Amino acid sequence: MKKMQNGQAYPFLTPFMILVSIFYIVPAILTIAMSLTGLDSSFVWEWNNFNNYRKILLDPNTGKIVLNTVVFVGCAIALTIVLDLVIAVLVTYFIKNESISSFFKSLIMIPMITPAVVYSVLWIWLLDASENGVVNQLYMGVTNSAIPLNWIAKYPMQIVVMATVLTSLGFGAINFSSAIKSIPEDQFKAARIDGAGEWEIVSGIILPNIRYHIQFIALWETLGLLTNYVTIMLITDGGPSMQTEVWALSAYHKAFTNQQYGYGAAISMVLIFVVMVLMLLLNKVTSRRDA
Amino acid sequence: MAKKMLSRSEAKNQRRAVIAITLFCLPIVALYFTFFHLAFIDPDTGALTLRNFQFLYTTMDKKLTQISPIGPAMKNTVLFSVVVTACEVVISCMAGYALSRLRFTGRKVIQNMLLVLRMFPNLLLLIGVLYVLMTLKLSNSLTGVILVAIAFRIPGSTFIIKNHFDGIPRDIENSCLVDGCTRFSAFRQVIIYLVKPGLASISIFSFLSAWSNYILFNTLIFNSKTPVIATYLKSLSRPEQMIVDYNTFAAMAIVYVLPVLVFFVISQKALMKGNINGGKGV
Amino acid sequence: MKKLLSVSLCAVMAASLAACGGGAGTGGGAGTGGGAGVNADAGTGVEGGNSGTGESGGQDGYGDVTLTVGFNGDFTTMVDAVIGAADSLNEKYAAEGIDTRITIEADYQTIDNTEFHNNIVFAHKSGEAPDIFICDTDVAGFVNAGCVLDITDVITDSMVEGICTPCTVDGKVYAMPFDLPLRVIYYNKNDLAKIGWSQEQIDSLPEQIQSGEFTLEDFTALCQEVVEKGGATYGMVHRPGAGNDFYDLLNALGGRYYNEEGQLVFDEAGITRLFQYLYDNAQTTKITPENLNQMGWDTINQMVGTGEAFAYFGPMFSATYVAQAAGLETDAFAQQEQFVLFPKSAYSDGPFCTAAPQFMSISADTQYPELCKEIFKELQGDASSYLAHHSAETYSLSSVKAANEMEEITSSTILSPVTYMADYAQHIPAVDDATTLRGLIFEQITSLELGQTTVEQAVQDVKTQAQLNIDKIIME
Repeated sequence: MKKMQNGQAYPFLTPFMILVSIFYIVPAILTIAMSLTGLDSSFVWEWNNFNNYRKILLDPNTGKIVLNTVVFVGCAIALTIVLDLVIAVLVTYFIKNESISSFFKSLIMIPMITPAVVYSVLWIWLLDASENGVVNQLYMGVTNSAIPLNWIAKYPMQIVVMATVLTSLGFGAINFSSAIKSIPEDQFKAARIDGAGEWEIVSGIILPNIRYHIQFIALWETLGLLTNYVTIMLITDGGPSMQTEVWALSAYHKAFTNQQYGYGAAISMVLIFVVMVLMLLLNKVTSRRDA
Repeated sequence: MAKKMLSRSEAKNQRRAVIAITLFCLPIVALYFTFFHLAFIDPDTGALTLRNFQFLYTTMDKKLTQISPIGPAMKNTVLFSVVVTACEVVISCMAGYALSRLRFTGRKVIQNMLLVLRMFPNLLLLIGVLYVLMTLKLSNSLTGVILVAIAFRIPGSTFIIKNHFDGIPRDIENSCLVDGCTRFSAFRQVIIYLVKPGLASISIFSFLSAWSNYILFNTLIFNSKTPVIATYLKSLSRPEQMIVDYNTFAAMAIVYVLPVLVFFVISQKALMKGNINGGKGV
Repeated sequence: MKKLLSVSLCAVMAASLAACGGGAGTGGGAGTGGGAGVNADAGTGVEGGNSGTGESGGQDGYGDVTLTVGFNGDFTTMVDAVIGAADSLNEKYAAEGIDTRITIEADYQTIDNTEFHNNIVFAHKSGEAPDIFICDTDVAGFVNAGCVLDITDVITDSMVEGICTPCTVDGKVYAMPFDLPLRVIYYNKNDLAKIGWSQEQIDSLPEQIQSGEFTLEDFTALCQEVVEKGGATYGMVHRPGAGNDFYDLLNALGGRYYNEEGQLVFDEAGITRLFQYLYDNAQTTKITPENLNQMGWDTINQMVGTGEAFAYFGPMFSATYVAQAAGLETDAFAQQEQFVLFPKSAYSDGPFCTAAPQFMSISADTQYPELCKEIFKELQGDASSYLAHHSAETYSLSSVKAANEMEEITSSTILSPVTYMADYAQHIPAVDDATTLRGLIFEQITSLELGQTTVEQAVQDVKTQAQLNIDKIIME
């Protein structure tokens, strides 16, 4: 017998629904509408015949930005996953002592909880182009070079990737670590009795057991990296010239720096579409993992 | 895991692992250590000093401008973080409970919506959000930013909380309902069971993200009447021109980060537990 | 039950749609008032708002009035001038028995100019705008967004001629210049002494530049000579961000970015010369450090102040930062630093400098347009000493004639030697989208100086982007 409990459910859901409609659904509709207009700082809503989308296709920088985005997300994901796995295996499988392992787990999470405004200045200060920069002092000490390097100008993408990876490490490492913990101890014991080495245990037992977690984290982090531009914005702001301009950041720049709100909305829409596709994938992975 | 003696090879592996991970963490620790060094050590004399902390109580003259004390920004940040965390926890608990326990029309729709919304790129909607706030006459106010911050986070935390509710036996609640409790008191009973892992993890993450929120204030607040520490610090450290010197900045950063760090260390155990038990799609 | 749900969902959606429609409505309404790029409309819209609110005041005074001032940047003496003018008005009102007491409430910020510009526009859209605010060079942008009040009637003869050109859109003045800083070249005289120049030679250089005898090419060669002979590490540096300074260099190299009608122009030959010049400086002769744009203001100011870099081109008010970075008082700084005109080049007609005033505007939404205007009038009249003080503090001449005669300016060791430049000053009009073009140009300058692109490629890139992003640009 299925008795409906509407009267009880709706009061519970009302605040949630109100906030979600006002701040997700309405802005989403507005963004779609805006992307079809040439809205700028004079705030006139005027249909412009898909001109924004045409602009995206015509802009020679689009290719560069797509490439940047792919490189940025690809490198960051690969690094994050590998490092996450290494850390998770180290702190959960090899380090049996609970307090030591949780100590390191919290260390790894420090960059994640550091506010972006502080974190970015930390990097800028570290990589200061003058001979007073910390990294430059190290570099000049090691190589005996007399000329300080301008790291952010020379290797902007690498730096942005590194800075981002450090902040995303915590989440994946904790997730993997709890997944490894839930692997039954018997499996390890059986493998050891069979004479398997540590490497075989890692690759033969741990990795297959957490493969859905890996997929999940990979997709989840991809979504995050595609859409979160705050770290890049604060460290290089897309520069020098266009070298670290990624898709989400370019939407922000077009809208809030150049005041082309319509164009910015169109760029956002493209990304939202891509993200939607990834989300479908992710939900599939999640249901398989939890099955 | 029960405490047991480690075999010799296991002990050896553990030692190696500790060394490896220490090497990895060393740069991070060094980085944060230098912040303390910058803030507390006088660069000229090498002695311990507190003069970089003047911004706590007084106006400082730097470059051509004056730097107002951090007080109002601190007050706003605390207010913002506390209100956002409290509202977010309450709202998402209520919604998560309804979605998990009650049968109602449209449940499937909302559940599917939740799946999409929990990772929707909300930062890309900022232009639209700004318009909505202007219409509601809530732009440029702390209330507006609080509402947006809550709205942006509730789908995610509702999802987590819902999974936790799903994992709790119905018996407690049912017996309560049979005894004539109302839904709300039944809800309270279940909440208490939940308090430990699930609630801890969403409130911690909510607090951390609210505390460090920068982009919402940057975009939705138009003057310096409603400063938070994030915008306060940012206005003093533009990439092309640091307005304060790094020593003062480090001191400010410590004042900013230390509370969350302490909070994090205290809550860290609850957080890890929450992840293990309710690790489903955090 | 199903019905109940659908009804409530509909209600939520309807409410949100209404909110959305309202948003579009108010946005559109304000927009049409502000005019879609048709500036004449903007004027009428603004005036409409003015006459609507103007009557609220009454003849016997306004009582206690608080005016808000939105300010961004470091030169807070501008706000002090507004406060001073308000005080002076208050005294007059008290003397005349008018019941008006103005209090100024200032909001100081130090954020990026573009961000501040957006904030002001958004503040207008949500009815939170300050009554008076500092207006950046993109006056046209504010006019298009319907944010600024037409103050043509406020500007009197007491202002320096031509000074309102940059804030005039379609014949109407939308902001009041508070000072008259000049964008010039400045260099360190000590560096010249170090490479063996005699005091006479050093002293005569500004005149040679003024007469057109010493050209830009000569000056560039001099920069190189200073570097080669060890007078300085770098010959010529510039600002590390997008700015109108580069337009000056474009002018000096015979290029232009606007035509006689004040429309934005893409001058391919001129921009090619500009790019070639900057590229050569950074990559060929190496008188400019190639990573200059990543160095940040502090480093550059210090280099200029200590003489590590010989010459710099930019507005004179940024010299205050230079003096400060070098730890020098104004007089000592005036001893070592020489300000000169942009020399004549093979492509240009003669030496020049550019006027780069900072403005304050009155919000189109202010409740007290008349009072705000009174303040601006007072600044040109009895309160002009505050502007004189502001100018002296920021190494700039004053926008008000009377202030230029005041002791504080005439006795300034920095300003008295440069007063002749006012005759050479170009007053540039407000050009639509000039900020967008300058952003595009700067983006390429960064890559060029780092040696990551070629001159031809850079020109092409700017051209494509300009055609794509700027609707009304004339290609030359």
